[in-house]
Amino acid sequence: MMQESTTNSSFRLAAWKWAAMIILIFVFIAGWIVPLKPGIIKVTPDRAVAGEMIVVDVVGYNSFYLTDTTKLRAWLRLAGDTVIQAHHIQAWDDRNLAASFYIPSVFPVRQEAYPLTLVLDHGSEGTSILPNAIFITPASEQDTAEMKLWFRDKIEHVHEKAGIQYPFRNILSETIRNTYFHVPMWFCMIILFGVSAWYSLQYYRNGDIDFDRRSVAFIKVGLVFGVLGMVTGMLWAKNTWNAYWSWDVKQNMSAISLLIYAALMVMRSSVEDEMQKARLTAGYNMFAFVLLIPLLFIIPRMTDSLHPGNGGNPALGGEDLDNTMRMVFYPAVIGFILLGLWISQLVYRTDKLKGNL
Amino acid sequence: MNRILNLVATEARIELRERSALSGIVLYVLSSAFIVFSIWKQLPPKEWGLTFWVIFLFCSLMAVLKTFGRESEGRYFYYYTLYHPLELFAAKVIYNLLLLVFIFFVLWFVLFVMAGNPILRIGWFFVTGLMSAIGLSFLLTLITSIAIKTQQNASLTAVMALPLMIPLLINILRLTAYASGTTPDENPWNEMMLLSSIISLVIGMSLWLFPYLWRS
Amino acid sequence: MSIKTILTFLLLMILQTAHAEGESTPDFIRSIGKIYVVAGVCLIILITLFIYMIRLDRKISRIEKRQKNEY
Repeated sequence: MMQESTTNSSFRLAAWKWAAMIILIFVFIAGWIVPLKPGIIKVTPDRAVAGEMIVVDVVGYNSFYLTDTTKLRAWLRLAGDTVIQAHHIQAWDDRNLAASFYIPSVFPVRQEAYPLTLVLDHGSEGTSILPNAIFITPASEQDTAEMKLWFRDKIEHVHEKAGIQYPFRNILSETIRNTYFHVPMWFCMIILFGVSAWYSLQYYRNGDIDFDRRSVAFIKVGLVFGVLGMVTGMLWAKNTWNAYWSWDVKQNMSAISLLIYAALMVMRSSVEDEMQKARLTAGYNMFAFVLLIPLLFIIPRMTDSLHPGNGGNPALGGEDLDNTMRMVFYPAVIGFILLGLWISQLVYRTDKLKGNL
Repeated sequence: MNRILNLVATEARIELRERSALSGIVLYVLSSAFIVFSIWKQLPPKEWGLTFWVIFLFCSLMAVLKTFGRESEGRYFYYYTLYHPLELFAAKVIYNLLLLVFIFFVLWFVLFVMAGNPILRIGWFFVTGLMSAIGLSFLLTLITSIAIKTQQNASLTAVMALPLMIPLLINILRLTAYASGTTPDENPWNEMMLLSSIISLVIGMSLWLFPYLWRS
Repeated sequence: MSIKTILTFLLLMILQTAHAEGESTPDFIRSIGKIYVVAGVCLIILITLFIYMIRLDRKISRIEKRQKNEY
């Protein structure tokens, strides 16, 4: 008892553990309190016929249409500079406005339907965009003189909202914050599995049973983070794709990597001899980790996916992360990785105590 | 090299002596193909490829497990004193490779008779088959050599090998889709490159790890 | 083992309640820009990690108890 109290009083938490806590507290606060930029949620009607005057009702998000009503401008964009500016805009309240457009009866390109993008600029409140807001079907009578209407207006002098804000993305909206909570789970899992494979390599070289204990502790915690990543992803998918599981390539690959390591744990439990167990674990672990690399980093890039951040570079693509988000995303990844390493260390120390008894 | 071929010949002789072994595999292929076909009733090109590889995967799993399960503890010990582990591994892999190629052709013939042949680029299909046989024989031999050291080897082979096969399988399916013309993709070399690099990873890792895992 | 089952049960509960609430008032979890999805994700992460730590804590106390008996 005496000894215990002396060890307790001299106990110091390592600096990187403090760092993990502080970083994660920062991530949880910043991830929650920073607001989103204004966006457009809905436009009604979403279909119209060309050659007519239309009035569209716009529902905004985080928008303050009543402040500086005079600075509201709206365009419908076909492509590039081919735009139509709104004649008149009426703000009903902070989140609802009506804009009237005249859609010319002819189009510079020939298609069956013309998806138009709504661009809204609002002085100091910044710009918001809704892609494919309205689908226009061609008019029955076409007046070629109206062609020049498409080129009369230009989108210029648009504003950027000042201050720290996360970007507004359609479909994602507030769940863009999951970048700080869901995505780091996978980074953490991969790093933990990597550390585990490294300890397996050490075991292969030295044959010290301690390395086996370490590598298994890291796999255990890596599995926990993997399951967390999958469950949080499923909750998100249910409310975005309307199904917990929709066989998206990223979901599949993550499930497979979890299956591989679960198989490893099952294999361990069915070997009796300790040395045999450690050797088989080390071999399979290294083999699995090497095969995991094409599975997680190459195949998802070659397949179409609905997952945000897709289009070549998963998760770190320039489109989905702006500089404000990076300032929280990188700390989030580092913080969760440090937390994962910390927990794995605790598991390892527990297993070691148990083994020594 | 001669010693390896000797081992392969021994394997083959044992296998052929028990006539039930080889005919068992053929029957397995036949009955599973029959069951799948009687569920599908007809096989459009796309489903043909999927069916082919699913049956192939399970048959090869069973076949490779059989070549290991046949032998007793005593024989392993005897081998262990006589041969270098890599010689043993090479012999097993070559034998399993022959077995998988055999299964490939049997299965192809069976499905050809039952459901016709939707494959347009037959050369590509055979190359894919050969590549997958190489990759799977290495992977399955390694995994089975791990699994036989545990108490419940049959189920563990499937549990450990199936998720690891998936990167191979995805590329094989794409190449098959190209061979049967069900994909608009006109350039299969990307998939071929990826498949061969995954296979070389598998080969390298298993050559490195087998001598280590075999010790006991 | 029991802790494990409790853990899975809890996770399922969270998912189920989220699901149920989504059904009864069709837009609850999707309201306010789906902020409740983010809340759910954070809760799942925190609760799971806490349960894992509690399990670890119990394991350590068991070892401590055994150690005491040995002396």
